[in-house]
Amino acid sequence: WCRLLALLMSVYPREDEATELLPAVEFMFGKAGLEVSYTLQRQTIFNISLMKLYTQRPGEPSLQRRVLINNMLRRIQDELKQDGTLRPLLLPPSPPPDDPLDEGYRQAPPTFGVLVQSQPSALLMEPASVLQAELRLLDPLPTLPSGGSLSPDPPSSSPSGFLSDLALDDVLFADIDTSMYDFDPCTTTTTSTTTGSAAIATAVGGISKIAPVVTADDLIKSLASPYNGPAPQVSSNQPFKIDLTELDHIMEVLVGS
Amino acid sequence: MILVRDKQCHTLPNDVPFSAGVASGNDFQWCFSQVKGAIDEDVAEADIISTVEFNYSGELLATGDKGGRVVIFQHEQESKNRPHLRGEYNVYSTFQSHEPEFDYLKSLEIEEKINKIRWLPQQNAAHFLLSTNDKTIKLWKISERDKRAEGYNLKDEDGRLRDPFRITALRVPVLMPMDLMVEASPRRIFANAHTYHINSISVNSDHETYLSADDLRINLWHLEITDRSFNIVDIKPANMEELTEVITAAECHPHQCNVFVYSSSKGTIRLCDMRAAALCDRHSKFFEEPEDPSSRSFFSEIISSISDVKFSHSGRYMMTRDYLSVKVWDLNMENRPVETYQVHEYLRSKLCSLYENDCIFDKFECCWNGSDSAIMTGSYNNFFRMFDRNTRRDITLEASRESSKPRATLKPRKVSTGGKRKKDEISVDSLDFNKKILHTAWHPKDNVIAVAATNNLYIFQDKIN
Repeated sequence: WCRLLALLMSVYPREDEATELLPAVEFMFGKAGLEVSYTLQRQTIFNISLMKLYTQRPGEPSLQRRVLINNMLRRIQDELKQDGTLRPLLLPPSPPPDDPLDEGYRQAPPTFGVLVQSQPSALLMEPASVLQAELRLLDPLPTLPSGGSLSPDPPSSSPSGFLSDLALDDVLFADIDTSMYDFDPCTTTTTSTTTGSAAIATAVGGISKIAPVVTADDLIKSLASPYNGPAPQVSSNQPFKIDLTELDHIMEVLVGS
Repeated sequence: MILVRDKQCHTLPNDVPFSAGVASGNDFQWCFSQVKGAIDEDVAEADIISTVEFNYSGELLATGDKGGRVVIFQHEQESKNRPHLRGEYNVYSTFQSHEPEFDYLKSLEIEEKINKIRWLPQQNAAHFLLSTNDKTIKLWKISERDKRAEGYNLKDEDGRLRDPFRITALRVPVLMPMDLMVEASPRRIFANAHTYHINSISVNSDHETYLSADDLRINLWHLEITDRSFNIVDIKPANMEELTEVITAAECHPHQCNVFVYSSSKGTIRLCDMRAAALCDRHSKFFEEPEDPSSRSFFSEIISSISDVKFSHSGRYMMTRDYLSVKVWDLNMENRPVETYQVHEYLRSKLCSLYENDCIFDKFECCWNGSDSAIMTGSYNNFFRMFDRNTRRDITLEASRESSKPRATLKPRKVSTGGKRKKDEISVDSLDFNKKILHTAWHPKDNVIAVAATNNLYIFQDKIN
C-alpha cells in the first residue's frame, strides 16, 4: 500500500513547483502538456478541498472558510462538467460532520449527485464494483503508445525525492494511515476471500465507509483523470506519454499479481 | 489613477527614510518604543492578542486576547528630565471581558476570544468600550476612583444596616482620598442576537447606536437597549445549500450616521443608506474591481475575499484588505479602487501551500494614520507594511525582540522575489508563517503604532530627525 501511495503521490505537483515547470513542460510537450499539468493541479486542489471540508478543525467552525472551500469545489466540478471529463466520483459515504453552528449549511449535494448519476455503476455500498470501475478507467492506459526511454511523468521528480519534501502529501498520508488502522479486516464479510484484489477492494470500501476523507480511490481517479478516454484532446494524439512501468506497478499492486 | 506597486519596489533602500506624510512634512524613521507580553517561547493560546484599538484621543490603547481578557494601556505624560522620550504606555486596567460558555441547545462551545474592541467617544470622566466575542457584545465602563466616602452612620462597623429607628442624627459622609483605583464594570450585555460568528462591531457617529455584523446578518443596536436590535442586512438564503457568500466586515461611516458599508467573501463592498429602507438588503453603492484575467487562478475568489474594511477619518475614502493587497476606494467611484498596494505579492506562487495549511484564510486587518496619508497592514514572519499615499513609498518592518532596544531604529526588511537573494534579504521559503501580524493600530493623532505579534504588543514611534 505504501508503495502504491508513494507512486500515486509522486504524480502530484505542488502548485508552485508546477508553475515553475510550466515553461519547460510547454517546451517539451506543447499545449497538451500544459493542459495535463493544469488538470493535475486542478485535481490536487480538488482533493485538498474535499479533505478540508470533511476533516473539520476542532473548535473553529468558520462559515467563511467552508463557503470558500465549497465554492472552489463547485467551480472545479463545473469545469469538469464543461470539459466533458465527467467521471464517477466516490461520494463520501457519510454526510459531513453535522455543524450545529448554522441552520443546515451543507455542501451542495446536487453537484455531487450529477457526478454520481453519470456513472451509476459506481455504487458506494459495493466496493468491488467501485474498484471494477476504477480498473475500467485504468484499462485504456496500456494501449497508449509505449513510453520507452521518453517517460516524462511531467512535473515531478523521482517518487522518493518528491515525497521527502512534500508537505502537501503529509496530510493525505496521515489521513489514509489512520483510516487504515481504523479498518479492521476481521469485521468485514468479504475478507474471507484471500485474493489480493478482493482484499484491496474491501480495504478501499472499508476506508470509504469509515473515514469521510479523501481515500485512495480519489487518488487513483485523479491519477487516471488526465490521461483517460473521455478527454480526447489530451489522450489520442498528444506527444505526452505516461511512465508505463509505474502504471504497471500500480496495476500490479491493485490486482495483486 | 490606479497605482499598482511593482514587485521590485517592496522596500526602500535603507538610506531613504520613510515618510508617513505627517502634516509637518518631517521625514522620520520608526523606532522601537515598548514591547508588552511575556518573552517565553511557549505561548499560551489564551495570551494571543486578537484585537488592538486606540481610543479617540490616543491616550488609551486596548487589547483583547483569546482568553477573553481586555488589557488597557494608558499613555503616561513625558517626563521633564527625559524630553526626548515621549511618554510610554503602561497598564491601566485589566479585566475579564468574556468567559467561555456552552450553548446547550446547539451543543456548541462559545469561545471567550475577543473578536473586536471599539471605544465610544468620551462623554465624561469615564471611558466606555464595546467588546465582543463570537456571540455576545458587552459595554464596559472604565472609571477611576481616588476618593472614598467615610463617616456613614447607616451601617455598623461590620457593614450591617442599622435599625433605622435607632438612628437619631443625620451625618454627612466625608470624601477621603485613597489610592487611585481603576474599575471596569459591565454596563450592558447585548446577547442572543447573532446566530453566526460576530466579525465586526462599529459605533455610529450619532454616538447612540452601533452595528454588529456576523457571517450572514448585520444588526443595529441602541447603546442603552439590550433586549432588542434591528436587523438591517440579512443575506442568508432560504436554502443554505445556495449559500456562496458571507459578510466579512462592516463599518459605520465616520460622519454620516445613516451610511455603513459591509464587505463580502467575494471581494465586493456594499454601501447602504439606512434612510432608504429599514432593511438594507438593497445597497446604494456596490464597489467591485473587475477580475484581471491574466492573474486568474483557482484561488482568485479566496484571495479576493475581504478581511477588513475601514473608512478614512475624512470619510471620503475606504480601505479594504484582501489576502495579497490593500485597496483604497473613493466612495464616489465604484468600479475600481483609486489605489492598490501589494502587501506580499511574492506569495502568489505559494497559494496552493497556503491553501493547504489554511493560512490563506488568515484575516489581516488594516488601519489609517491620523491624517489618512498613510496606511498600515500586517504580513507573515512578523513583518508589517506601510504605504505612504502621497510619496507612493512603501516599507516592510519587523516586530521582533532582537531590535527591541530603546529607541532603536527599525531596519527596513526585504523579501527576495526570485533570482539571487541579496544580503539582508530573506527568501520567501524561509518566512515563518506561524508568526503573523493580523492586528495593528495607528494613534489617531501621533505617529505611534501598536502592532500585535502573537502574544506580544509592540509599540513603535517616529524618530524625528
